[in-house]
Amino acid sequence: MLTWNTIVLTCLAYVTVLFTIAFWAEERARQGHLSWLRSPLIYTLSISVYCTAWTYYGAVGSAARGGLDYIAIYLGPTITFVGWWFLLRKLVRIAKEQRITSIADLLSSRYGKSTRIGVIVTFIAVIATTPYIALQLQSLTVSFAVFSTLVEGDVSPSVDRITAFWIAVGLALFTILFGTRNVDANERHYGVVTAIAVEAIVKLVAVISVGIYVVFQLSEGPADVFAGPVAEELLTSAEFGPRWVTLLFLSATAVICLPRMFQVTVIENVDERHLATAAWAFPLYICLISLFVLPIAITGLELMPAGTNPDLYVLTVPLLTGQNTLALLAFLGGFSAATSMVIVSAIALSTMMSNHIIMPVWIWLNTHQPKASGDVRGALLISRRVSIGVILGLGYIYYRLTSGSEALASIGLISFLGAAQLLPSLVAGLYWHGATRTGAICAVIAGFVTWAYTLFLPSFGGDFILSARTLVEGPFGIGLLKPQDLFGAGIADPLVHALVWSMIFNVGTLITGSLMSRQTRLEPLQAEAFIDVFETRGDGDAMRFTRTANAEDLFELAQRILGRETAHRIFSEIARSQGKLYGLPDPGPDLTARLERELAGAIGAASAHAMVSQIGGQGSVSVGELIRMADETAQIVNYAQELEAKSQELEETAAQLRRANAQLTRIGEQKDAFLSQVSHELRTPMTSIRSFAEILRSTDTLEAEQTARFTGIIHEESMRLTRLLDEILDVSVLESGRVALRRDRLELADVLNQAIASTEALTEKHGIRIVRALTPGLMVEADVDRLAQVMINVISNAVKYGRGDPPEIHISSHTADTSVLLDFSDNGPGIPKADQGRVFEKFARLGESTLAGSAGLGLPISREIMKNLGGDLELLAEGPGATFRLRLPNPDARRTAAE
Amino acid sequence: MSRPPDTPEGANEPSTGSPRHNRARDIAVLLPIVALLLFLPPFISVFFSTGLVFGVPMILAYVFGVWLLLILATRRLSRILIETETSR
Repeated sequence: MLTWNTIVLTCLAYVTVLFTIAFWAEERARQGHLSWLRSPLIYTLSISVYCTAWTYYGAVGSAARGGLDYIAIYLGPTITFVGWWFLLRKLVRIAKEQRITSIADLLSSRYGKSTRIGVIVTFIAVIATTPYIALQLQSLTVSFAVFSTLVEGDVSPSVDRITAFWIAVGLALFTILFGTRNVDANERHYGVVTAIAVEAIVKLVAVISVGIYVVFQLSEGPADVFAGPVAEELLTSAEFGPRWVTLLFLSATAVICLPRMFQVTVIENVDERHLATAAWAFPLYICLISLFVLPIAITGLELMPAGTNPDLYVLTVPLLTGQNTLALLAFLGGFSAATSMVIVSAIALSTMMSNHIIMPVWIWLNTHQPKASGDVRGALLISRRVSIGVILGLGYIYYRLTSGSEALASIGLISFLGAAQLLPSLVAGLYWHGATRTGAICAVIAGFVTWAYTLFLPSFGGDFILSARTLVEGPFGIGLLKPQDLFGAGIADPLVHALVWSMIFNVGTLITGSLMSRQTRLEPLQAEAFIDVFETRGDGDAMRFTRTANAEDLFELAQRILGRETAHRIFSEIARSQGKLYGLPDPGPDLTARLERELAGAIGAASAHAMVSQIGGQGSVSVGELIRMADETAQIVNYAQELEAKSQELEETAAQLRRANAQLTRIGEQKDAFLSQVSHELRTPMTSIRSFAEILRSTDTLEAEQTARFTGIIHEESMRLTRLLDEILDVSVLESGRVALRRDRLELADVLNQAIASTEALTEKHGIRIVRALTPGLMVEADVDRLAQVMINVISNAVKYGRGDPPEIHISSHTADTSVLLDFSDNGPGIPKADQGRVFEKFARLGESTLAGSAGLGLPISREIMKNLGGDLELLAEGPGATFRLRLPNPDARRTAAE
Repeated sequence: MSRPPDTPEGANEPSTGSPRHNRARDIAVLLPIVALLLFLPPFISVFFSTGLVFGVPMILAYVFGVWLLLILATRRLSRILIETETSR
């Protein structure tokens, strides 16, 4: 038979074992035997601190009250861990790189090493965790009471209170002993973590033993358990509505946001690879823990007398059936669950309190004494110990206030939702560059206030701040503001109601607040260090400033916070890396940056930043300098961009110059060719004029007839010379575009007739037939003489080169779009493809069949005229003969278009 | 088999950027989403029945079955991811 003494003695023995284990682990860690202590197994088991007394007792109670809610509480963390590759891995990596000490520190660090946000988050975390700690005290007390009732009959409430009080004191002692041995969060709590891991095994073994006993001893296997009407009744009441989704969300969140979960999962992680193991091992653990919950609940309902607290079935079922050893094991399991949770929570919260509330106050008090006396390290440790006492005291007070009336599960969920208020700012901090400090602070406060108003304060049932009347009628009788039915949304479940509104206010405020505020100077740097933690390898180089704090001062500071040994080790490491074999390292940005990181591991990022800056003295890390540096950087960036733009511009100019140069060279070559052609063309008639003139001068005996013929030749040659010079002038004038041609409205046929008449002598001489196919009444705007000149040129060209047998020239007109086209086609041999590009070059006479009187300027001049008239002269590629096309703008088409 | 003989030992081990690693990362994105969907209505409601499967209510068999599969899948996936991560 179990006696009260047996229970107490067992507890004491168990605690002694835990002490021994914790002590042994600390010793081994001190000696450097870390391999076993740093295994993924220990890590996974320590995460199981998620399974508290609430889980242990409360899950069965929840299952017995109906529904499968308890499963959702376990499925949420499973999903978070299955998705470890994103959120958890990033958190762990950031925590390592930035030496994060708690979730408050993480948010503070991300939002510009802000002290204010650290204070707010710490405050919220303490408030949200208090009910949870009270819950553990309550479940411990109740489980003790089960045994004492059994032994001594009814227990008075005062005995309960005394039990709870001594449990709180005992837990505080254990936590202080093993949780505050050192101040650096990165020198992990090996003792505590190992003890927690042992407790995790006890929990699992206990609940599975009870489960197996229930399923295979009290019943005949699972089929027998689920066959009864109770099972059917329990399961039919299950629902997968909004509450189910809410529970999934909350539990998935809690595994990150609850301070103790953040502590074991992120801070106590020594190796990212352990996370990969925990990703499947932790879900497996909670899967096993929850496996027997429903069978125990069903058996409890079937066996126990009505009115028994279903929360305690794990204990009472073995007791009722006389399995005292099993009951004792179950009791130890519950004891483990409760103690481990309280210990880890107290450590996490005390770190937050000392780093974010006590340290900033200490720094503030010492503002005017940069080298303030006093042992910071000792102060830190004392502040943490006091914090642990305060936290457990608050939990005890809450327990007394609520007097253990509520079902376990609902208390836990209040905590979950409280902690979930940190999630939006946390996730935004990890993935959104634009999230600002103001946005985060407002969001956390908005979410917290909504949570307190809609869920936390109503949980006191009208005894605390909010009166019972306010709960029913709303404050001042305003129905829209009823705490549990805000704005008359009609959400029946208070948890779902509180979640919906708090998240709406939280996320809404975060987004609008961030969009409407500006980031402080440090924030963009920290945001980048957080968001791109996997891209930027190395440790926060972005954070290096030129700070020239005195090395002695820094050493003194480090010594006071980290302790003599650690400070000495760090400083000699830095000195060695600087190449100094002894003495203090040279002061410099790397020293201060490294020291700040080391200090951040002990007292949080914001405090470390403030302290190092303060020690720097003379405002050596003044905001002014930061701004100047930022400005300089911006200037350099601007300058570089300008340079880049300029060099691009230069490159473009150079390319243009090269192009222009090439063109000039080509034009120069053309000019040379042109000049030599011109001189050659001028030379031929000049030669004949000179020789005939010489004959006339030196010979007196010439007959009159001969003289007449010679002077005739001279006249003809000088005429040709004049014509040639005219043409050259024409070309140069037309090419320069300085000539303004008349634009008269003409009928195309008239001009053509004029041209044909002018060439009649030529065509008749060669017996060429001209075939015309003209659209009557086709009008153009042109200079009549010039246009006729072009036609004459083209016709004479056809006469010269394009004679077929019998020779014919076809002239036809078309209108195309906005142009009038006039084609001159001969039936000669056509122009070879190779020469087609050259016909418009000056002095380009194709082949050798040059006819006298042509300098080869006809076609180039014609083309220039056509261009000056707004049209063109083209050679059509198709055969059989050569076809020249005159293109002129169609004045009528233009008019039609204009209309 | 068709590997050239001079390929160094372990050259075909997965590394960051290898198809195997990329696929593992894709699945790592997908798995929590799939897990969530499987535990949300309408999926979970479909299996919501008190009928017994091997002596266990259908809904329990479903939840614990999916749970176990998720654990196995994550275990396999984590090994691939961490193996490629550390071999870098």
